[in-house]
Amino acid sequence: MSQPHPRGGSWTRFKALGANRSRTRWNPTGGLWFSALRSAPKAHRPTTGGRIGHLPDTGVFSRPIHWPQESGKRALRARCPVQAIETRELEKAFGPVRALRRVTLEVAAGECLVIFGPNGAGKTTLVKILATLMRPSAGTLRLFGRNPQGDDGLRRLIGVVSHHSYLYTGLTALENLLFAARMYGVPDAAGRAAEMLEIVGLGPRRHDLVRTFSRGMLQRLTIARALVHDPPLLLLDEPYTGLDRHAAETFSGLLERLRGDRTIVLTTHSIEQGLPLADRILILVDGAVAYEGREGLDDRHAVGRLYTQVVRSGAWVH
Amino acid sequence: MGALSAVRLLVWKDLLLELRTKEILTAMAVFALLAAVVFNFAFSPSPAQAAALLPGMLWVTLAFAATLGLSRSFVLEREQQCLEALRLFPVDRSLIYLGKAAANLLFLLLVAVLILPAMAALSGIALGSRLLPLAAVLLLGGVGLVAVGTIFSAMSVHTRIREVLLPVLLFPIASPVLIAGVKATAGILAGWPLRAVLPGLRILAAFDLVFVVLGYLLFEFLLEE
Repeated sequence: MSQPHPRGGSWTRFKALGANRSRTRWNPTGGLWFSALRSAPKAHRPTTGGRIGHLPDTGVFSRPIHWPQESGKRALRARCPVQAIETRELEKAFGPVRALRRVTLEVAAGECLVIFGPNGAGKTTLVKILATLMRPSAGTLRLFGRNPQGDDGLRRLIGVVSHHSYLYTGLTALENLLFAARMYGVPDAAGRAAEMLEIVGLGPRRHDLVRTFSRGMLQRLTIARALVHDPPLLLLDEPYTGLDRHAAETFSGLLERLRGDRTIVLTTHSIEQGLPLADRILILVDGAVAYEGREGLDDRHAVGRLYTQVVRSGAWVH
Repeated sequence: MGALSAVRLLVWKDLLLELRTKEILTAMAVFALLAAVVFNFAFSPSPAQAAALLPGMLWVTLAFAATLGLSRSFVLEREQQCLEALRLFPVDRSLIYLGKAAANLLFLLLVAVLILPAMAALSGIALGSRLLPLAAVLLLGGVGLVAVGTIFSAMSVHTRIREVLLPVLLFPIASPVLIAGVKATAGILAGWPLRAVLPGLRILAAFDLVFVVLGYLLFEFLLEE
């Protein structure tokens, strides 16, 4: 008889797929690295140089911060000792329909969590709640240790890429980024907007109206818009929707470059596209966490089989 | 970022979009001019009648033109879910209301600037020294119309019948603005002293204050799904 996974998966099931049982156990503390971080003094703040130093005063990344030159997740976690995302028993109901069921989740700074799930699993609802676009019906959410309710400044730490581009098609690429940069209070908004356009390879098209862009270009501009204020948390909701193979590969390359520098939560139903970016995966079925784990992610086929089995067997409902 | 800077940016964005798309202002201006011409032919007022008819014609035209503009105001934001993007900015979400209302007011006042002289010319009325008090009435009335209209426009944007729903919701609530606006305009055109027009202006100012504050307080909840 299979032993139930603490988060709804099955030991035997995953063991049969060739994974190590002891390493796949869901660890609510997030492993040794995270434990060390948890004991790190909260008052720690870096003092020299760095690329996210222009972030305006918003609390966790409060006061004029000068990040150290070192990069990578270790440095990121050291300067952000609290969890980037912490949810407890999140619920969301739309009338009689329960879109989310007691979702408890922790994402450390610098971690890339990929959320898989079939259509209607609650992925978009979860991202909207994490982005503070929607209030949960029950449960708590903390971002960088802060309660987002009534904390407008906290949204400066979040970048969102959704199914939709969030771009005004009647404005040029530069105008869109300029507007976003100014609304986020980015110093030297014009310089930052131009820099982001160059990074995503749209510099030559900066003065073109967005309505003339292809889907791939639109998606690149969308990510430039989401990153224009250099947020430490990036939420990506089905970002591959509508992209052809080439555009999806380009987009994956772009995301690959962003990994480690910031916390990423990506939702997708495509194992092929989501897995290469994942530090940890979570499978959402019928609004509940059906599986969560960080091991064996280099075997795409094994994870694919696991996903199919978890989705077929249904969510572990609390 | 300060509240004023955020509102200014939102207005800048709406003006830039309007400059490119020409969707809102063109529709409002063409409708208003056509209405002015139709009213003139329908009533063919003598110079004596014109002063009595013009206030009604002016405010009815402005109210319908405002409805046209307001119904489009949030449609552009709905495209690509830009309204969601606005809610992601680290500013008080109620400032979106103030920004949209300010842009709507600007469009409405531009239309008023266009049709007031046109209607006056068609009716043979010389505005002359009455321009300043008329501008005050139009400003106060305009603020009232867009304060209520922006709330209802945001409420109705997610419905399929928004073009029908908006005037149905707007006109009953905005009727004090229209009545007070017509009365004050008529008084000014008839050459009444300022103290005789003041009660109308006070009603308009009170209405503006109530609905701007109400819109500011309620807007964040209206945007929630």
